[in-house]
Amino acid sequence: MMEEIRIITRLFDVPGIAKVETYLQQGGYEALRRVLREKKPEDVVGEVVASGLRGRGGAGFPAGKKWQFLPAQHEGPRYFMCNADESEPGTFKDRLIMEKMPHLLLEGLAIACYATKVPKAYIYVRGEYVRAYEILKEALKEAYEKGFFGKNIFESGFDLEVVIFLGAGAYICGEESALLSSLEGKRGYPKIKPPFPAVSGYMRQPTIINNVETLANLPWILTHGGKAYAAIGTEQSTGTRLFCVSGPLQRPGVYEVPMGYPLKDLLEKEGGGLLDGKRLKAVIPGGSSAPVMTANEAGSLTLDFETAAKMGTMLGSGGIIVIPEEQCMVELLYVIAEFYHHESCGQCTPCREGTGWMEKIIAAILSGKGRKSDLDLLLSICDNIAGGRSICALSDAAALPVKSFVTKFRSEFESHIALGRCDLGGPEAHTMIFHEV
Amino acid sequence: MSLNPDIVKDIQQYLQRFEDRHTAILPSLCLVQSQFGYVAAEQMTQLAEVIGVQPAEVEAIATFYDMLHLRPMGKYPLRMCANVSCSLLGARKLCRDLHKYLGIREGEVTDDQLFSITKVECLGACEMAPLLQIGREYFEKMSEEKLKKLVDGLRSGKTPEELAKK
Repeated sequence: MMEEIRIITRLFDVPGIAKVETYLQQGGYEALRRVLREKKPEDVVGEVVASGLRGRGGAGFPAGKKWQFLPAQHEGPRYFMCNADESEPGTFKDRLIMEKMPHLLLEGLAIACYATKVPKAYIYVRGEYVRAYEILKEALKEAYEKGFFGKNIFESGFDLEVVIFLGAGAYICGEESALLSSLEGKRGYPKIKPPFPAVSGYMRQPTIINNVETLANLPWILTHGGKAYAAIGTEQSTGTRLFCVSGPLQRPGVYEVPMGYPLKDLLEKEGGGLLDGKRLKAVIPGGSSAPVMTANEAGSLTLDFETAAKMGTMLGSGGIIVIPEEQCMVELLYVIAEFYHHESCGQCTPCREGTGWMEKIIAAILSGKGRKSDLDLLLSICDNIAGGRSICALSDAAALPVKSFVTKFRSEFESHIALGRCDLGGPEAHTMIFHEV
Repeated sequence: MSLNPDIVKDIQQYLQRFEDRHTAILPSLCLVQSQFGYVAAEQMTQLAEVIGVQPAEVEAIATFYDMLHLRPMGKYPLRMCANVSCSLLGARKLCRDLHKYLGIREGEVTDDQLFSITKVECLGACEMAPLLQIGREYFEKMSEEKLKKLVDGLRSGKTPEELAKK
């Protein structure tokens, strides 16, 4: 049994921890004060590189390395963006951080801005998180009043202005270049990379974009050292991670565990196991775009980047969704395909057309009008929309579930096509079809 | 329906805060919507003038985001999540029940102007599935019975805030 280590959620249950006074009583903003007074920005970057901290938004890119992509010499402004547009289905950890402990995020953001020598930051909060936005705005106001933001913070000569920006409902704006487009007052369209945002981002200036959870790790790392952080978890997946478990479980919620923690334990111990009478059929381990795993495969997954990759899936955004035995997989894939089609921004033909085509085919299979050739057609569409054929990775995100569902649960799809109906549970089997298809 | 002077003042503040005036478009649209419940075409033209951009640029933003409405909505726009985690717990069936109970389809408003229903994508609160959202309030672990109670409560004049408290 691993020792319980909680870096981010440790103080979540302290009453009033969202308020600055309580946060200060618990040692809040101490890391920032010490960093500003005692460390050079380069030393902070060094600590974060040493910590091995990888981005918690989905891609898992090393945070310190990302910061090092900023050009050393640059005439003109640079910006820092906190990506709080958490939108991958099944993911809700960033919302919890912002609602429970907004100052932890703000302190982490200030540390990151100091390390990257950025005087202006934005926090882009998804439109649906109105409550988190209000809490965060109040916290920022408090922090400004205390002098933790603004001019000459802790008399260090460092200035930082933070603006919180509320989106208005668009999955794609979580993609970092789309987030920048949105913030620039355009439609939230992703941009071709390179140039990467670190070189040419917001307003074509060097911009670093980090996820909420990534930033929330920084106060701890700068207090205890990068080495101590790297000692937690596995070699390539350091620290702890917030996993969101949802679906028919006894205790769905967000749990912080060291990287490398067995998925089975997370579902059984933390999540309390499945609801009474339900048996596990499959698990989506990292938000709806992550390739699905059978219950058997899920039984041997440990929650670290390398094991997930080895098993042909990914931990993505940390959203773990459990699927019960009686769930029709054709039906569930339809829900997922419908989502990616709805959220495709429409810029690139393979994604715009491919996601809609896939949704239509799956709907046809679901309603008993599937053809034998449909499954190979689906797989062929996957191969033809993903893998660099579009500006951003949404087409990959749309293709991965289709490919994995059709491959791993092929017999269910074949049975639908052969019988013209669902084999699981009679005429009431499908409750998720929304529109007549 | 002209823009309220307070909104114009707020928009002028946005213009100072952001690097580019275009950034003010989205929050300005949200402000208008918070006053009227939706954004009418003439308001887009007015906004464009205040912000100093083309009306088409405002419309481009207004038509991109799901949470911006170009038609009147109910006083309480019921947002029912129908994504994976909620659907696994019966959300889509509940959403249909809700449509039946209120006698409206997607995009329609009840005769008393109180309700409209939107089937939305993941709201990022899957631990509360099946989930319904009204403004900033979450209504968690919905059932047919809880939906009816919520609707009846709102009809009787209670606010979402009051009903969200347990």
